[in-house]
Amino acid sequence: MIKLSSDNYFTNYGDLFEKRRQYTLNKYAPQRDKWNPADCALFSPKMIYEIPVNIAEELRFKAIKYAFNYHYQNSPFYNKFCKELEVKPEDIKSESDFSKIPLISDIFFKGYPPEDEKFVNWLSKMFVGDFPNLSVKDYDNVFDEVINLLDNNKINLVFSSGTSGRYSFVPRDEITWNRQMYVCSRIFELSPHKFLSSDYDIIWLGPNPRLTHLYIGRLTMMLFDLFDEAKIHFGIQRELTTRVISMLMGSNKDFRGKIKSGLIKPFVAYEQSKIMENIIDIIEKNEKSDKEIAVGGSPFFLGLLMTKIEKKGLKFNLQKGIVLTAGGWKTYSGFAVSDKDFRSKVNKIFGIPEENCRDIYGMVECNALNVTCEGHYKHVPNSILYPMVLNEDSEVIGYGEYGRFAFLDPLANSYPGFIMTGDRVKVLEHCPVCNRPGPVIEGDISRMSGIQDRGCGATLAKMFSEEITENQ
Amino acid sequence: MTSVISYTGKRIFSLFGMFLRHPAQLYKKNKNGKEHIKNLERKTKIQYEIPTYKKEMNYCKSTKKYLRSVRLCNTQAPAIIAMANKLGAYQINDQEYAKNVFNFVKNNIRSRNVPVFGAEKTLKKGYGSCFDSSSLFIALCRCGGISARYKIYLHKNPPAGFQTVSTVDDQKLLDSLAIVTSFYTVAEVKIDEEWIECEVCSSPELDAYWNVPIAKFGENCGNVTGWFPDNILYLEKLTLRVIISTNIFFKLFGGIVENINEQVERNWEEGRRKLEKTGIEEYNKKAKRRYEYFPSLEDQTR
Repeated sequence: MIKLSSDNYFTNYGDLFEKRRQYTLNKYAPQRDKWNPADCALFSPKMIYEIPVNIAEELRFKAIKYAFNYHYQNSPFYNKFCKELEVKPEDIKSESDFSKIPLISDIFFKGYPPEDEKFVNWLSKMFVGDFPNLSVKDYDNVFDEVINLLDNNKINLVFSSGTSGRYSFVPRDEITWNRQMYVCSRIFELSPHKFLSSDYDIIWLGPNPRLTHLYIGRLTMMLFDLFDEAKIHFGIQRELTTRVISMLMGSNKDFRGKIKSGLIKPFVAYEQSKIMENIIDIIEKNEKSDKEIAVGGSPFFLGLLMTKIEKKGLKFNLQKGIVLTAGGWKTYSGFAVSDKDFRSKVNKIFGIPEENCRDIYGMVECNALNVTCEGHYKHVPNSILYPMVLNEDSEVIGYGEYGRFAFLDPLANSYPGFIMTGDRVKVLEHCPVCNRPGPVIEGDISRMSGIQDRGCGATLAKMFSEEITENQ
Repeated sequence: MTSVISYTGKRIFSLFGMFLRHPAQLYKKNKNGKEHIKNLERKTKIQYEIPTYKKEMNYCKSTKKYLRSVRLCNTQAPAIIAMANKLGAYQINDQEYAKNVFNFVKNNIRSRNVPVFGAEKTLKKGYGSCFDSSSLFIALCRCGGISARYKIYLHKNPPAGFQTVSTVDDQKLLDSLAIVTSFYTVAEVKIDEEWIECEVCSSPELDAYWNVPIAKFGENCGNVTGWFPDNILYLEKLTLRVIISTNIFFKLFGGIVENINEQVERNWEEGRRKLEKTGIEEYNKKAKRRYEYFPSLEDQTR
């Protein structure tokens, strides 16, 4: 077992770490006297990935009980669903009762009606809270218009996937979005170096968060809170709306859309190729001037970047570098790699040690992010997420067995965050490598049989795969 | 209706293409299937009694849209009037009557991919396609004075697991046969000025086979198992184009489609055993906890 001293680790960051925490707390947390149990579970611990199990369980129980009661009272469709399954908030007396809480399939968020004019109505019925009156003018582009209109009302309508031809839409009100941003800012608790304090250049091989509501892109908004904006470089600098994504993925319904899709793809590929060149230049300059670098993005894009570097005959030696991945691992155009092979390639091309490769397992429906430690096990922030593994009959099975991943997320305020996913995982009670408390998810995550690969990473991969690989 | 053709067109060509490529094999399969259909006609017994029509029986004579008698949905046929009266037309309130009709059609009419018969023949035969079950439901509702219409879900792709409903092992032929999944018809009934979806085409036994909840009166079924419709049509009557093209299709390939029907029969039997073992209420609760199910925001369950 790797010896990890939480104290040393924390001390190393020193004041700056605490300063950043205070900054994000001030920005995202409500006033302390207004905290409800869900806020307490998130904002009260100093480190959300290192809470002793008994404290985390107490915080989590109160938060989930509160959230279940809140959605039971405030979400008409969830209330009806609970009544059908004969479950009431009073039934949740201890953690062992969590298995009774009705779970919503993640497919639910893809279930918008085929008629564009009914989209707003569908969203408003899913939304828990006061949904604003929206006057949509352009029903040909209803998704993007609604996203913009909701943005003006402080509701982040993020979307994901589209790999199956349908987007998952999840509306996050201000409370939920602030909690999500705070969680994002905490992922660096597990980062390997004095990441926050040093002079790192950050390369994110994904879209600029200001230009998209694609979940994987939007989340990186948090980078602006923590780092100097001049040092953040994004791999995709074009607006990524649902319309653009449909075009790039060739999933337009009509003939005109298909023609447009065919025309736009080569231009995008050329643009992406130039951006890759630019990123390689930045890496080269940083290496020469002995500056640190952190590279992040979907495994697919990092794979593309590494292939490009390899083809140019380049190699780097970034011993203190960090690689952060997020998004699906199974991609397109032959880029499907195991996480182990990927880390080994990172080490070979960038010279970044394998223990500095970290992966984030998250999904558009969940506000908590599960981040890998140096042993590559994904740590569950256990005060704010209750992970479950289900068998085929949706019954909870214990630790150490593969099954369907489900979770109870008390941070979701604008939709019920009690979700079952299409992912096949194994959850362990403790990390076999480090001594951080709480459950972990094993590295090998796949899709349950019969379910298409999905997720933002897969979406980006599908969008750019053919053209970019052709332009390599 | 152009959209129905556009959703099925590709598969029609694909099916004809298969016929041209493997004529002998398909001819044989078609012939065997048609024999099976003849035997089935002799064997099938309906599970209910159609009462004798009496002149004094009440029925709706309205000529208003969604209430009037239309092609293949004859609301004034004696058998329809008799059955409507048996189910409580003009004796109980609209909602209760519509629920009775819903339960009668859902529990008694067996699902088969067959040419479009219309309401009256479906009542007499005891089986039919989703068009027929819906027609029967609509005819009985209209006969009882409640507005009703067809709701057609159009799909570009067959649902995951479609191959399991057929004994056909040729993947290309199977893809062509997926034409039968291009559309799925349910009915809607208007109660208190609200259109309520009624999924009468899939019997509880088939729902149980598929591990999906048994749709209740007013429960929206369009999204079950994540098989999202690409479009939805609302019709007062089935158009001639749909009826003629469907019937030509069955005239030519009905025997092949019978492969699917045979499998559906076996599925029905398996579903029946499952329900017998667990009971409907318990089964439904379990099914609603499965990944493939999610609560619909359009539900108007009453």
